[in-house]
Amino acid sequence: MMSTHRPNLVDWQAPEDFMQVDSAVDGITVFAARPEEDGTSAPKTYNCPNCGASTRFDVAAGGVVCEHCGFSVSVDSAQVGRRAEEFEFTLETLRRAEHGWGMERRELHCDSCGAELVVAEGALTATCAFCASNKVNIRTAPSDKLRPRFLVPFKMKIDTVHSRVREWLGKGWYHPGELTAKVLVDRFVGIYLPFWTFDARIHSGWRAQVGQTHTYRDRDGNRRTRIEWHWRSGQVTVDVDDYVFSGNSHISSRILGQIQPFNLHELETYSPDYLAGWHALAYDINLPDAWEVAKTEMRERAKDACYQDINNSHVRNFSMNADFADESWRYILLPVYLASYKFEDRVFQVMANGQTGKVAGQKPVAWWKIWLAIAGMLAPGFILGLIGLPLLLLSGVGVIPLVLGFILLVIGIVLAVVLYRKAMESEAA
Amino acid sequence: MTHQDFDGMQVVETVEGLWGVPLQPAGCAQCGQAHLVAASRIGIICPHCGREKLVSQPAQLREEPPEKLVPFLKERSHLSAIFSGFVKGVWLRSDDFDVDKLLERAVPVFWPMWLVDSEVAGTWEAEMGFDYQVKSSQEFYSGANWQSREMLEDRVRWEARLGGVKRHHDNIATPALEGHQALLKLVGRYDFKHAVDYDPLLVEDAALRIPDLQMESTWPLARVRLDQVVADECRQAAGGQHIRNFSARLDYDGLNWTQLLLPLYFTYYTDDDGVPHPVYINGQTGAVGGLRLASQGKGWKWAGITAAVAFAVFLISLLCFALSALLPPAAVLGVGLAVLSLIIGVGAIVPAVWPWQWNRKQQDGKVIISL
Repeated sequence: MMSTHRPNLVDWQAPEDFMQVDSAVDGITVFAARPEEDGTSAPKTYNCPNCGASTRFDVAAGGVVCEHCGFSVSVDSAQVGRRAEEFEFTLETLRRAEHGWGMERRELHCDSCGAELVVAEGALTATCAFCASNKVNIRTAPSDKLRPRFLVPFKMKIDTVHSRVREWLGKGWYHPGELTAKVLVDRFVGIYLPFWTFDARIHSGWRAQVGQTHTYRDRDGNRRTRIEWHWRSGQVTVDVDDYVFSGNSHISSRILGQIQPFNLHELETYSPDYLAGWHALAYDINLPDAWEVAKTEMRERAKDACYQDINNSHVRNFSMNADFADESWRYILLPVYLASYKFEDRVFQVMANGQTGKVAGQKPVAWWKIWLAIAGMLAPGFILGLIGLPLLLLSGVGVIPLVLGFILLVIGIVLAVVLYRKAMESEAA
Repeated sequence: MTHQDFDGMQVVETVEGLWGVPLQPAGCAQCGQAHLVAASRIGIICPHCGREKLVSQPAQLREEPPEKLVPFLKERSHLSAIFSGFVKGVWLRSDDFDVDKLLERAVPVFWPMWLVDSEVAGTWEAEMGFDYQVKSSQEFYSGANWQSREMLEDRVRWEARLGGVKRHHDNIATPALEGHQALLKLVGRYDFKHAVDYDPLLVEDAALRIPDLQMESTWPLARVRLDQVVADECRQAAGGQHIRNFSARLDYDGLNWTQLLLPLYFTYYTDDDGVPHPVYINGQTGAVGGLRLASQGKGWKWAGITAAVAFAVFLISLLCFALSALLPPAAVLGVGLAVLSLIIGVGAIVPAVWPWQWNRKQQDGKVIISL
């Protein structure tokens, strides 16, 4: 609405939360809302204001603590859970995301002692080698949206993780018995790993020939079965909420998958305080690449949903379309403990979920136990075969043990393959 | 308080040499519309309503000539084709509703709009819409293979913007006639980009309509138009593609009023009762506006003729029936003629009803002719 009240242009000032931006027309000034300056992107050094010693985030205290003098300050953050803001796949974001995080090694000036530090590739945090002060720096993000906005903080104390790993090492009959006694996993590194979360609604329409089984008796009175095929079609909508995808290619995705899920209801707004004294990695799998892989998984879910909708085992000439809508993404950091241990000159990796404490990793296999078990699985069938075959040849009565032996042998082979694969996976990275 | 300047009006009795052409003020006693016309045109039918003749009378108008005019792009030579298109399709029209007569009565007219210049200063705020695209995809599964198709979707992001304005605006056009909107509805919009500086030679053969809306009364409309211009400029300044919830505290100063003249042809035809019906042609685009009425009188006449023919055929059929007493086959002819008379009789309804139905549909009164 226009007012005829005469404005006092001399006195007029834009509100404080607005700043002047470029104007394309002479004689018109334009002010836009000032971008939120949360200070999370600026490099931050963690030193104790009391004694000057370095401070770090302490899981038990739930805040930044000085281990020297006991100074403690709580983290300024809010739990947003799964309501955490999600972003659209705008062309601009995708273009920026293609440039990656900025993987080059970079120098960081320590404002505590003045030293110049070389920060590792993709690392978001560093500790000064000279004054031991902890630093958090996420400034090299290609856009504001592509720096971590949310994270799940570490909830598991290192002691708890230690005991859970010892418990995990002792599980499983086909691992070396002396594993728990000989192995010492004490150098756990708490690290925030990058993850993408994706949401989408998939509207699918399917069409297929669905078979209906009919039983009838022929002229000779024998029961026969016939399948009648009919074209059917349907619509299915699949909502995918918070599909989690690892943003780092150097961490074993298999083991990462085994320590999931993370409880995203505990997502907090990003604060560098959570990273103080901990390691953190930026993504090296770009958003478009991650989305392509996630989309492949999502469309398979849609396909499964279509098959469920068909609800029939006889299906042929199946075709479908999957229209993606309301796609969105988030870039988050999730807490993981990483460790490795040596056993008989081989290195094995262990991971623990920093939120739930779930442990997974590589474990050596006592292969003699596996071969013995496999031999035990194959033996009944083999022995029955050995008994049945001469009986059949000599007196013609060995058919039953021969058939039984064959069945047991097939079952034994299947079980042996499953066991072998499980053992291989146990050692795999 | 907005500063306004509405001075400059005066009562003029003769305009010899005023505006650079020897025009005289003249008015219509029927519609009250005042025009400036050459002395030789005093006494012509009013080029607004077509009902009365123009008589010399004083008029109130500004001393300085109009600033701009949109020249006639449609010459008189184009009018014949335009009228043919206008008349075509009207069956049973009155004798006066004829291309030649419309052409003969066509008068070039310029009708006015006010042009206002203003200094604008103030503050504004709005929500600016910025276009952006998001990427989506459609996946197709057939024969154990997936195929992907990339989709781009246009969306608008709305953000708050505010700021100050200090601008000068020239030639913001606002209505100068009460019937402005009605006239625009009939002949369509003009493209002001083709407006040229006022030249007396371009108006000497035309009748010039005198504004009947004074500047004071048209200022609110002008201000709305100025506000719209400012809003659009603010949108451009902010780089937005859309704007909503625009509000401003604006001060308009240094107002300067001039006139813009728009080209129009006026003609008319009379109906059965001799009532004239005006027809307007946009002198720039050729769009025609006016009621295209059919003649009910002609309809009755043709209905009567058709009924008479039906009656005559019926009489002949009766004659055939009478003759069948002597010549039996004549009865067959009699039956055929009786049926024919019935059909013709029913057909007589068509010319009687058609004008009534056609005239009911002529509410819009606008026909666009492209040449």
